[in-house]
Amino acid sequence: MGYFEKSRINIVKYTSLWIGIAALVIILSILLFFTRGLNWGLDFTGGTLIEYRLGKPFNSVGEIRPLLAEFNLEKSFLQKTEDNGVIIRVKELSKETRNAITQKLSVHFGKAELVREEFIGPVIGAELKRAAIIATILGLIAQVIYISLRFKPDMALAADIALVHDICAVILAFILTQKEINTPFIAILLTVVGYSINDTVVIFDRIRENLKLRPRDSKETFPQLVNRSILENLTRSINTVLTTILAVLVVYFLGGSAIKDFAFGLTVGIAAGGYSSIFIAAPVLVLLRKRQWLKEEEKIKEEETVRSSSVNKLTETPPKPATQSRTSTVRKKRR
Amino acid sequence: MRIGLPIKVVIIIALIGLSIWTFMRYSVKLGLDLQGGVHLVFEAQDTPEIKVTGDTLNRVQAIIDSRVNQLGITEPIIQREGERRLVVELPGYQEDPQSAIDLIGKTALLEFKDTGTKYVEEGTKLTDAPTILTGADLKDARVGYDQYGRPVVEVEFNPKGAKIFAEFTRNNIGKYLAITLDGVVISCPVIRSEIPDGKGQIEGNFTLASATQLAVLLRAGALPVPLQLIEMKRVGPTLGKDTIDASIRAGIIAVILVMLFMIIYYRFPGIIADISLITYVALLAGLVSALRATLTLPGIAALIMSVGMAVDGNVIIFERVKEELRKGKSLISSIEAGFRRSYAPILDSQITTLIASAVLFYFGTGPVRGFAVMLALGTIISLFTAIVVTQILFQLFERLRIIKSAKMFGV
Repeated sequence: MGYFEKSRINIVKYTSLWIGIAALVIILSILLFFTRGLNWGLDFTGGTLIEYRLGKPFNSVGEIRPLLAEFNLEKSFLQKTEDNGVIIRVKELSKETRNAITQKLSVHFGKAELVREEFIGPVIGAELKRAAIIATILGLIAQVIYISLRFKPDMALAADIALVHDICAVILAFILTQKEINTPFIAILLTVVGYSINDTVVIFDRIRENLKLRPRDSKETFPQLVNRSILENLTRSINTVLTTILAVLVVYFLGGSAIKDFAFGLTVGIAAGGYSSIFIAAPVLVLLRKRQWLKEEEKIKEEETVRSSSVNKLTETPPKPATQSRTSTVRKKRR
Repeated sequence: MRIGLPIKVVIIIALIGLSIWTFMRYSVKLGLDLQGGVHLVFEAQDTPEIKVTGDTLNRVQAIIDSRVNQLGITEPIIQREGERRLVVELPGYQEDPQSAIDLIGKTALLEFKDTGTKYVEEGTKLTDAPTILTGADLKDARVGYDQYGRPVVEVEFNPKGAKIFAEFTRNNIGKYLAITLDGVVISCPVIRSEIPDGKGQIEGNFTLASATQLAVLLRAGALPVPLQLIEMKRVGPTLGKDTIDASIRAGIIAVILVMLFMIIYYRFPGIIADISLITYVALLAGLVSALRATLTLPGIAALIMSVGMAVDGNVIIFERVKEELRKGKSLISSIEAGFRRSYAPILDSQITTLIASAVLFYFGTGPVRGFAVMLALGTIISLFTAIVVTQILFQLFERLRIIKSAKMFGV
């Protein structure tokens, strides 16, 4: 037996705790979404953005603000980036004003290279929000259909609850850090959808296999079987999350400022995805099948009592109807 | 027919070689966000006369195509997006984006208007005067110089236009003729004599650059409907270059860390996984350059992330093999069973990632689409390396008697 199987950790036992934590994440993210909100970037809000790389280091954007006063832009959104960079975000900017700003900054800092310039019309932003929502929902639906086909509808539902949790966790992280979100945010959400399902599927696959291999007279209950499946698979779950997070963290630390936020989102999403497959998807499945396995257990007990009573009565043939119905439930599971 | 092990090994090595050759030969096509350049999105606007249709947009695209060709940019992209949008990408364009916008987005409707005895100041908007001829009647437009050496635009009408022009100038000597571009007067000369040959000069306080631009616009023709700029992104060359340098470093470090992890955790099988991973990286590089897939900033993140995900297949297989060994099976049958029982979970899990990238590809544009493509490519290749390459390596090491005991799996 492997390390985790020997440890006899009972994850399924604390189902209500895990679901409580998940519910907290989901509720908190919805609550904060409407109160604090996400920091929508230029792609979503529309407007104009220019980014400079300056010749001399500066401590804070406070040093740049006064320089923009003559253009009435001192109250604009300013952001310091790595390598002496500064981002200026305004509603509108004429070519002349932009050139004047470049001139002013280069006089003040020795050099001001315009490294990026963006203009996004107001229509685009609204469209992008819609596209993000549709893409995410469509992604969820596509995964549910796939899992329903390959596994069972209730497994799809359990996986989807885990997914909603992961998406909420990513959104929550971006609300709390107030990191700006732009078009690539859609890519983060969809990647997390794919990754989280990926992780869940491997556990479900194990549950399915263990159900198939379960001997007919097994004393193992469904929750125990799920727990065993999780443990058997735990090394894989941890290792895969570790190697993937390792790679994404390298991007976060070394990939340059332009993809830092992107890597951050992926890291959170992958961590959440790994967590949720173990602590949400599988336990929720146990809950969803509660009725089914309780009935089953009753039947096992019933059968045992019937059998023992029949032994007492010295009857040789065991009562047929009970056996048949039990076989049929098992067979149902076997598919 | 079963293919022998040596042939399999040769095929894999050939694939790796081919990939490296392709990568060296064709390099990787960089997206605008990495290469630098200008990305523009225009939306066609309805006019009272013309509603925008697919056909209108096709005409607009053709005209913009010929305008952009004048910019001398290698591999510009002009493509339709939806019902009324055009995306124009100008890789490596480092001038002021405004001049590109002016050139591409201008309707450039040239009109010759009859203002009778009235002189109209340059720069005024003129809409009511009757139109004699339009830019559609032009045969050619070139930059020339007047007698003082100032740049002008020389125009030549087609036969039909030349006839109308000759008739009009003959009947209106001494009167004014207003030349307007998109309704704004750029020149208002007096007609001194009949112009029979259909050749004329537009003098409009041009600089050489603005005269050249007008000539380009007139040659390409006027747009049937006005365009509105709805998105502009310009990336300087430094930003992209820095990112590429940083990403290459990050990618190498990520590969090394993942490889170390696999060796430390799995020992000998880890080495096999690492060889598979190197194969993965080589094949990925080859395929990305062979397909001419565009590498974008998020695409880089997808590639590096995929390195972490690529070993997942190996992790699943190794854990299975270990389980089989613990059950007391022999090494060979454990390896065989480990692989056989890993197919389903590996396939299922990778297909979900492919579904996600398909949705992303459908909804995303530009950089996000690049991300989806890289994610999908990575997933498909990792399926091949994790299952096929790893299995061949196991068989090879078995045959070479390098794999001897279950101890090698740490069991």
